[in-house]
Amino acid sequence: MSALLNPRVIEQEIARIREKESNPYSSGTKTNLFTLVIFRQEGAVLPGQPDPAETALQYMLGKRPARIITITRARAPQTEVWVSGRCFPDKRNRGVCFEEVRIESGDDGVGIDPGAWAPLLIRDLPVFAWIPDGLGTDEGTWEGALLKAAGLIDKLLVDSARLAADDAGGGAKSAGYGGAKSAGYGGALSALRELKERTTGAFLLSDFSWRRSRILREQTARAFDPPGMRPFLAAVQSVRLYGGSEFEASLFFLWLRVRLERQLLVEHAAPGTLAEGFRVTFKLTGAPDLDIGCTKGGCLSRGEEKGAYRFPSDGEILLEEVDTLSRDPVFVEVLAHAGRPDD
Amino acid sequence: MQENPLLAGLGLPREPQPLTLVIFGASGDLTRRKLIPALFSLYVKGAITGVRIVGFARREWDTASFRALVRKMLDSEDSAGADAELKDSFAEGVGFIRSSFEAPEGYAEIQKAYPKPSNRIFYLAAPPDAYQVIVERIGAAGLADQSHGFSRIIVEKPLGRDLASARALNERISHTFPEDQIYRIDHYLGKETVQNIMLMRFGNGIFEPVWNKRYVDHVQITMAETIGVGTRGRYYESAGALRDMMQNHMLQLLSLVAMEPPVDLDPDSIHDEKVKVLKSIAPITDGLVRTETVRGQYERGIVDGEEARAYREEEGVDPHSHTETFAALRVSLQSWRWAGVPFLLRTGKMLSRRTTEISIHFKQPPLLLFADRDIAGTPPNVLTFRIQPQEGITMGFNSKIPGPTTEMRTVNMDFSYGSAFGDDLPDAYERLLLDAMLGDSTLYMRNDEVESAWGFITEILHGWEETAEPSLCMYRAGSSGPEGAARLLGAPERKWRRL
Repeated sequence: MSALLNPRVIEQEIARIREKESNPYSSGTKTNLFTLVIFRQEGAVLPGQPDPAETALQYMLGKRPARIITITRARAPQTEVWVSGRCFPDKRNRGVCFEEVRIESGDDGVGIDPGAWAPLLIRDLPVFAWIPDGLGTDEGTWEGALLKAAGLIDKLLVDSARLAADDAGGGAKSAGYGGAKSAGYGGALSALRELKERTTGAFLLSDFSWRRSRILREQTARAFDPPGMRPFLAAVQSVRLYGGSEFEASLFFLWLRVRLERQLLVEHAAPGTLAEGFRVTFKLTGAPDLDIGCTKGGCLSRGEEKGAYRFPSDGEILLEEVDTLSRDPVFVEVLAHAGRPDD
Repeated sequence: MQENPLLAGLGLPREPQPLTLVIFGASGDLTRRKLIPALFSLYVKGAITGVRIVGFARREWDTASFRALVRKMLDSEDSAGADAELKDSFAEGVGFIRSSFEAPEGYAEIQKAYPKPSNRIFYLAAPPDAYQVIVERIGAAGLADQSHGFSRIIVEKPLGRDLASARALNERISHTFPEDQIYRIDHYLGKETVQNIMLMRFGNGIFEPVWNKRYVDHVQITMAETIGVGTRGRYYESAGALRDMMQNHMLQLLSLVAMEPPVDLDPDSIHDEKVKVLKSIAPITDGLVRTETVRGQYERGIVDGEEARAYREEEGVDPHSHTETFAALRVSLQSWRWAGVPFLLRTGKMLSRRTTEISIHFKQPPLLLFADRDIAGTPPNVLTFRIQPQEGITMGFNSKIPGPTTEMRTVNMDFSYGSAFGDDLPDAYERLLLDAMLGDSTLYMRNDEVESAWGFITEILHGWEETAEPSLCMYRAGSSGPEGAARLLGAPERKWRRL
């Protein structure tokens, strides 16, 4: 192993930087809450373009103290490592710090090997792994590293939209579902289900797209929640979604299929992003259509205002995910149906 | 009712139905310091989108001036960092009714000016002597009626000054509001650390097996303040530490520490267990006040580096006052779990440090193999819940001192909320207000809890009055309280925890 990756040397450097960075804070610094290991792909972000993963991390800076280990598959002969720190004061002027270790794994493959970075994980604290750029391509995929590190990770954070992009050869699939079809609809999520099956449940799995589509589930559950509306759950004939990505639509339709325990006729009518807003029309047997939706102006259900529309940023989702270590049984159940013939 | 299968796993935040919250005493300190900041915090979180807030006071204000005042309240320290636009929109949403508490017209105005939302909560942030008239006027105006929406009342302490007056107050309120519409607030119950007592006890496997007289030597509950009576001298003269702190906050903490596991998390199940504890307290009657209680009063001294005057020199205080600013009790619970375990309670003003904590002092191991000294030299294990400040939990245990020795020293395992969780702790009022809006009375006090606590305290008050014992011990401001409190410990190896 490269001397540069000596864990003892890295820990000493982290301690030195932490002491220096924490000096300005009169109330000291908060202790770390977890380790986040980020697996990145070199070139995933074009020069001059904003890096969504870094934006999400910056949102978390000052809110959660953590050790961040970023492993990048680099086009270089040898693995190199950098250590740095960032602190931000909280309300009580306590420093909330990131201890950062950046490993650029070269052709020697040293940086990818869990033996290189596992000693840097903080023992007895949760370890989250995050793959913001997708699993990678045939030239190099993170899946092998994940399988080797399965016992070290408590929860893996992915975005099903990014995993499917890998399948499509690096570019996001076009979200093209025209016309109505029955709820045999989760093909785009197969990559995520397969990853889960291959890792055999060694760690918890979270999906940013699942979290983003939560607003669809919430608004739907609320719309049918008044006692007078519940009987209409059995009367839902078809569902049409305007807005949201292919993956968010897939997760929404699969969720309905799983929770209602029956096939529905579904249509993703106007793909977009949920951040811009959405509308869902439920066609009911023997009753007028039920419309729900949100725009930046707020949410509406059956013509009634239902408060402001707050769509979470990736930073907010990341923050939520690193705060919990529990399994979402509904997500697991939905994922199990993704891409199955009967769906 | 048919189930809604779509709710599964969503963990939707609890949202109250649209309601009108009327605050009686909107010009008061409680509204400014606690209620408005807590309501604003809930507003920022999107938790009370359908809540209309209406101030009710006799001051010569109108809605515009009340809004301006609310906006100013939001520039206080707690809300200082919040978005100015949010503050503006919150303040623009509040209403105001100018009226005396006696005038029926003011109550008619609630119905007239704010017919919607028809669900209503009335918050009594007014002086206690106004409670009766406010409740009567609410009833007379038909505002307690629930035929068009719920109607609840939140009552602040003091809930009486002895058992008789507490019963009378309960009767007066319950004449208008049935028990399930009454929310008696003790803000201590809204503190995260207080809620954590129950979660920690019943959510972990390691504590309950040792949570009894076999393993616990004694329990200490301390509520120490560094401030004096300030501008409350006149009120405090008629209250004293026993009524002001012991009857409510401290006995509530005691009941949470000593209660049996509830059968479920239904509010009544929890209240039932707490009442059992309060009813199991052995009365401290006339003959026992001399040995089981200590009372004190602060003299001049130094607190927080500044000279502090004596209680008898405070504004509104009788120069010959015998009101206690410090009280300590040795409480015995007559239950299978706690028989023979003293619960030592102390509270006081102008003490050396501000702290509220509960400490469980465990018994020594039966044989001290490693101590070349007497038992008194080896500190026992102590589990401490720090309620405030530096909220958290500490477990003290003995560990070997490195080197060729079998000497031990106490070391601490420390859990601190400030370090272990990312977010700051929400204010107690925030949680309590939301619970009342949702109809969850778990963290409020039930009628029988209040009366049981007053029953116990009234016996002591009676004993003090009848016997003039124990005599009032004077203590220096900035000290740990009267030295006489040590006699309650009952065993030479026991010590009050250092403040």
